[in-house]
Amino acid sequence: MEHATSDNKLIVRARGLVKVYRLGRRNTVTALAGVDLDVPRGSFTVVMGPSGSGKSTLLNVLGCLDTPDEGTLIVDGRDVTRARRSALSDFRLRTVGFVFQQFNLLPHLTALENVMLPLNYRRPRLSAQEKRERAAAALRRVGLGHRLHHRPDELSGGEQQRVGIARAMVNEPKIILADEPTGELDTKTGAEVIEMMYELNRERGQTIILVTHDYAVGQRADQLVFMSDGRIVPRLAELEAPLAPAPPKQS
Amino acid sequence: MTQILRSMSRRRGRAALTILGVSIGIFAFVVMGALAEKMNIHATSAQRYYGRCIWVLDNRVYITFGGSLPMSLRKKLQAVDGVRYVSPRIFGPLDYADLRNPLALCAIAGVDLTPGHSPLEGLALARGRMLRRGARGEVVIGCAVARKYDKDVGDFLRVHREKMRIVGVLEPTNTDPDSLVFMSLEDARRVLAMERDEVTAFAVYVEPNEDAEALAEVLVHVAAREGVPVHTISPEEIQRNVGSALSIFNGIVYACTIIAVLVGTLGIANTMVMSVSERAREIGTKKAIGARTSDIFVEFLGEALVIAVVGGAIGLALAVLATWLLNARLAEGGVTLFIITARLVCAAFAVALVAGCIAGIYPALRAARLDPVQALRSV
Repeated sequence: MEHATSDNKLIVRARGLVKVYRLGRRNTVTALAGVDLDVPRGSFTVVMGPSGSGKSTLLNVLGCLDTPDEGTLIVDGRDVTRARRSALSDFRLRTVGFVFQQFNLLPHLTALENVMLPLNYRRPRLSAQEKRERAAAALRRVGLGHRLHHRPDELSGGEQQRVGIARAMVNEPKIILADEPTGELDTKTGAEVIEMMYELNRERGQTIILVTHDYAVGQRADQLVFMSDGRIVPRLAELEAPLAPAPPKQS
Repeated sequence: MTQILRSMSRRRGRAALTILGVSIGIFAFVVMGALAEKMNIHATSAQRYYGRCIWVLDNRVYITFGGSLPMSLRKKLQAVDGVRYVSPRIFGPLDYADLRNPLALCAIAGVDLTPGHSPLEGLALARGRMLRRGARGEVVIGCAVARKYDKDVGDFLRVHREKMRIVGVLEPTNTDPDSLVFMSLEDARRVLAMERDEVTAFAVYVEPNEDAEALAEVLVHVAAREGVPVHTISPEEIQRNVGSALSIFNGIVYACTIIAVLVGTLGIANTMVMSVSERAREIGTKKAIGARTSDIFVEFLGEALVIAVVGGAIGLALAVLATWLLNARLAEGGVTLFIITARLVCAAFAVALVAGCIAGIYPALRAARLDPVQALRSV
């Protein structure tokens, strides 16, 4: 991984990102077909687009879970385009926090233990006491101070996602990447979770990149990005139309 | 470690069955190993006890029981160059019923009690005293005899038609003296109804640096000249026979146990491979939140090792219990069939650890190498 000179105001600078998946011997799917994207530090960026447009792949590449086949990606001033796996896992640990659509909490661990998990991977190691304190503080910040010792199956969907958010922010990452974090929640709970993420962004200056199908979420963002067929496309009326709530039919 | 135990506790039934598989393997290893240890200790103790001594036996019998040699042969054998001294012995069964069960065999050993020549001098007493020269109607017994007949110093032991006073009980030697009833040559002749100058064997002790095998041949010639057909068993011959018998025995025992342990190992591997497939999403999540390849590898290998070590400890505990029960039951017959040595316990743990490593490496590598994006997509 190299230090790259880049605009310090940008946390992500992507140029010409291409990602092609092979399905069997002959079939290939181009998930990213040359994506250029700048994400300013402390901003709230929302990525929208139809299913299969490459939103999740973009998030995986930006979060260093996957590497691009072509292009350049600079995250937090480092060129991560062709970094080795081991360097990427360290980078992810310190720089990125993931929030998943299905929460991805470990069912056999309590909320506190789930949030402590990323701290377990830190080197040098933290003391058990420090890990507990940090995890508890993160859970209190998302309003779950009273649910520390509950397992995921004892929590509501909204609470589980809040544990997911606490886990993503416990290592104080530079960016939080959220892939449809409200996809499994009802509208009211989903709105609460989104509100919490906006709060994090406002109060702590936390950079957030969020994928959603909810146009209302995108409207409040600092930056709204539309994707189609692996590219970032201009905000066209015809693309917005199906995402906007359908007008009531007149009889 | 806590994480490993918590992961295992999620599928308790499967973990318990896998641990049971390993336990059975280690149980077999320890029980069979304890049997082999007993045989090995018996053989090495016997070699130490008998030392460099050539057995001269009646040509009509192979073992030291039965047969008849004239006492007069002693002087002729003693005169041979390289012979330190010749010790006459009389061996015979204590109870004829024992002949059907060689494992529980206790025997009469009539020995020369001359100071400096008595084979009892190399043995340690647990209680009482040694036989003195000219002892009559007295015996010193091995620990297995004491256990089998529940006798101690001061008691009387029935030896065929006579009752003999026990004056001493020997410390365990893990070899022949444990099951012997020592008495004077005269007493042995009387209870076994033998002639006045008759013995069943001569133990010929050899001068240091003497070629025992060559000397054994000379002894056969000397006896033949006296008109006594004998055969000999040299220390080298004992070592060869015992060594080859032991290596065959050890080979069979360890081959069987390796199969048992291998089955346990495959059980762990199977459980771990299934676990990796089922927990792909969890692995993906951990990688996404910063787990290194090595963290995942260590976690899965650790799980395999915990299964192996817990299984090993349970197997070992069961084996200790089983051998203790069997030994206690067999002790009534004066037999100790299993000895669990420190090296056997260490070997059992080493085998369990190696089994855990072998079984865990492949699944752990698979888990560690999972592509996080693919893993996150799995259900």
